[in-house]
Amino acid sequence: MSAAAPERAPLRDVSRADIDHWTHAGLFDAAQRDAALRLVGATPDAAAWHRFLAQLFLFSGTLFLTAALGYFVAYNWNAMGRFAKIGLLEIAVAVPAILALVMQDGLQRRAALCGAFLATGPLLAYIGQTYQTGADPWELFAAWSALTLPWLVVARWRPAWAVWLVIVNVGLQLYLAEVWQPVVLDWRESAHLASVIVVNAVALALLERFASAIHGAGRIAERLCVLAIAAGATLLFCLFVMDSQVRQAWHLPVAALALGLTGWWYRARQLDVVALGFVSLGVIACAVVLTAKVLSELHFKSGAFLFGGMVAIGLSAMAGQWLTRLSRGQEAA
Amino acid sequence: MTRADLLRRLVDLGLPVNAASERLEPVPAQASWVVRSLLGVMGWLGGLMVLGFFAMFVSGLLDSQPGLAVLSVSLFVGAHALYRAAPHHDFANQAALAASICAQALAMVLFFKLMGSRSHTQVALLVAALQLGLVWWMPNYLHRLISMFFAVTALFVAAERGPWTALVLLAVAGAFAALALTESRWMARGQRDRVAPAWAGLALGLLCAGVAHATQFDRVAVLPSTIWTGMALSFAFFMYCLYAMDGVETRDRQYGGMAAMLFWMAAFRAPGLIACALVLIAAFRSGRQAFVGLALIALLGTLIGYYYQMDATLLKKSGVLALCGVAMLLAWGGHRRAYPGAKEGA
Repeated sequence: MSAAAPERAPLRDVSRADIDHWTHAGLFDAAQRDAALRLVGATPDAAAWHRFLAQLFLFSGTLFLTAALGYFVAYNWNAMGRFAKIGLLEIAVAVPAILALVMQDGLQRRAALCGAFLATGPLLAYIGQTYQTGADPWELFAAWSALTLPWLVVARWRPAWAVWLVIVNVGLQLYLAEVWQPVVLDWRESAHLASVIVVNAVALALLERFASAIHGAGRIAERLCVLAIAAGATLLFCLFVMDSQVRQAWHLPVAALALGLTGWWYRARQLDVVALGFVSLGVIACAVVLTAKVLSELHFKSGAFLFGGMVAIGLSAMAGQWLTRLSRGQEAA
Repeated sequence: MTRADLLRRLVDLGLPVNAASERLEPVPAQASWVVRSLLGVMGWLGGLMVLGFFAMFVSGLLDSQPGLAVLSVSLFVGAHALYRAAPHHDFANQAALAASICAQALAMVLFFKLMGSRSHTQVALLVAALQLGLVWWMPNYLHRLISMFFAVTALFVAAERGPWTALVLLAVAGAFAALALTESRWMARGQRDRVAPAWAGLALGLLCAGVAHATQFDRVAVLPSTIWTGMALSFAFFMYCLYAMDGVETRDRQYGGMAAMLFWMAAFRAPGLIACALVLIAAFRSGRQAFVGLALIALLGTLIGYYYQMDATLLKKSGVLALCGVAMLLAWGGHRRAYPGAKEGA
C-alpha cells in the first residue's frame, strides 16, 4: 500500500463497517483496526472519554444520591422524626436549586437542576404519606410534573425532559384510572389509549418546535413520544379489530391518523429512521392482527396463524429494506 | 475521513497498511439498531405463528417425538440453506429466522418429551447448547445475536436461582469482558461475523441479568443478589476496566483503576448496577451508541426495581445507593482535579 496511492473509491467518509470489513478480509491487523476506528471517530479518543466520564460520574452520582434519599425516607426510620425527615428532603430540593441559581449554564447546573427535579418526587410523596392530605397518587405525579416544569425549562436538557414525560404519562394514567374509571389501570379502556396518543402528540409537537433550544442525548425525548404514540395507536387498532364489545367508531380513524400523521411527518418533513421504525412496527402489528382476525372469522384458524406469520415476515422484510435504504440515503446526503 | 486520509494517518502512527489501496473497497452501511430490532421482533412473532400453524394443522405433531425431531431438523436445515442461498435478501432472511425460531420451539418441546416435564435444568442446558451451536452455524447477524441471548437466558434458567447462578454470571460477564477486550484480534482472524453478534447477544443477556436482579416474580427476585453474584460481577467489571486501560498513560490508568474500584466497592451489594455499568463502559469504549443508551435505560430500570427487592431492607439499600452516589461524586471531583483542562461537555 502506498499512502499516496490514487483514490479510486468514492470519496465518502470511511465508516466502521468499512474498517471491520477490511479487518475481516485480512487487510488490517488488530492494532490497525483499533487505530483506524479511533481515527475515524467510531471509538472514543481521550477527549471523548473525559467528556463521557465527567458526565457519567456527575449525573450518576446525583441520581444515586437522590434515589438513596427516597429509599431512606420510605424506610420510615423511627429514630428520625418527621421534621428531621421533611427537613432532609427540603434540603435535598433547595440546595441544588439554589446552587443552580448561582451556577453558569453548563454540566453542573444541569446536574443540580436534575437533582432538585428528582428530589421533589420523594418530598411530595413523604408529605402526602405523613400528613394524610387525602391526595390521590395521580395528584403526586401531577404536582411533581407541574412544580418542576420551570426547572426543566431552565435546564433545557433532553434526558430530563424524557423523565418528565414519563412522570406526566404515569400521572395521567393514574388520573384516568382513579377519577374517570375507579378501577385498576386497564389498557382495554380506549380513553387511556387515546389520552396516551393526544398527550404525547402535543408533547412531540412542542419538542419539535423547540428542538434547537434543548440539548443532549440525541432525540431521546422525541422518540419516546413517537414510541408512545405508535404503541397507543396500535393497541387502539387492536381493540377495534379484536373486541366487538368495546369497539367504537372513532377508534379506527384516530389510530390511523396517529400512525399516518407521525409516519408522514418523519418521512416527508423531517427524516428520522428510528421514529419511522417505531411507526412501521405498529403498522405491521396492525396488519398481522387484522389478517389473523379476518381469517379466524372465516373459520380458517390454522390459516390465521400461517398467513399472520407470513404477513409479519413479509412486511417486516419490506420495512427493513425501506428503512435501510432511507438510512443510507441520509448518510450519503 | 476519506480512505486516503485514513491510510496516511495510519502511516504517521507507524501502522502502515500492507495492502493495495484499491483492495480497500467501501462496503454498504449496515442496518441500524432499529431495523434489526424490528426484524428480530417480527421474525420471532412470525416464527411463533408458523409454529401455531403446525400445531393446529398437523394434529398430534406435538405428541410425536420422531415427528418433532424430523420437522425441527428440517426447519433448521431449511433456514441455514436460505441464509446461504440468499444472504442479502431481506424476505429470505426473515423467513429463515422465522423457520429457525419455530424449529427452536419444536426442539424445546422435544427436549421436554425426552427428559420429562420436570427436568427444567437438563432441558435448559440442552437449549443453551443448541443455541450456542446455532451461534456458530447460522450465517446471519440477527440470528446469531438472538441465539446468543437465548443461550445466556437458558444458562440462567438452568442455574435455577441456586449457587450455580454466580458461576453462570461469572461465565457470562467474563466471556463478555474477554470478547470486548479481544474483539479486534478475533476480527483480524476472520471471525467478524460471529464476534459482533456474540458481543451484542452477551451484552443483552448481561443487561437482562442486571435488571433481573432487581425484578420480583411472585415476591421473589428473578436472580438472587448474593455475596457470590456480587463478587462474580465485581471481578469481571474490575478486570475488564484494568485490561481495557492497558497501554494508556500511567496517570490515566491509576485514575481509572481508582474510579472503577470505588464503584465496585460501593455497588458490591447491588450486582445489577455493576452488570449495567460493565456493558455501559464496554459499549462506550467500542463506540456502540445504541448499547450505551440501552445500558443507561437498564441502569434506570435496575434502580427502580431495586426499591422492591426483598433481599435487603430499604435502609440497607439506601446506604448502598448513597455509597454509590458518593463514590461517583468523588470520582467526578478527582477527575476535575486530575484533568483541569479537560472539557466536560454540556
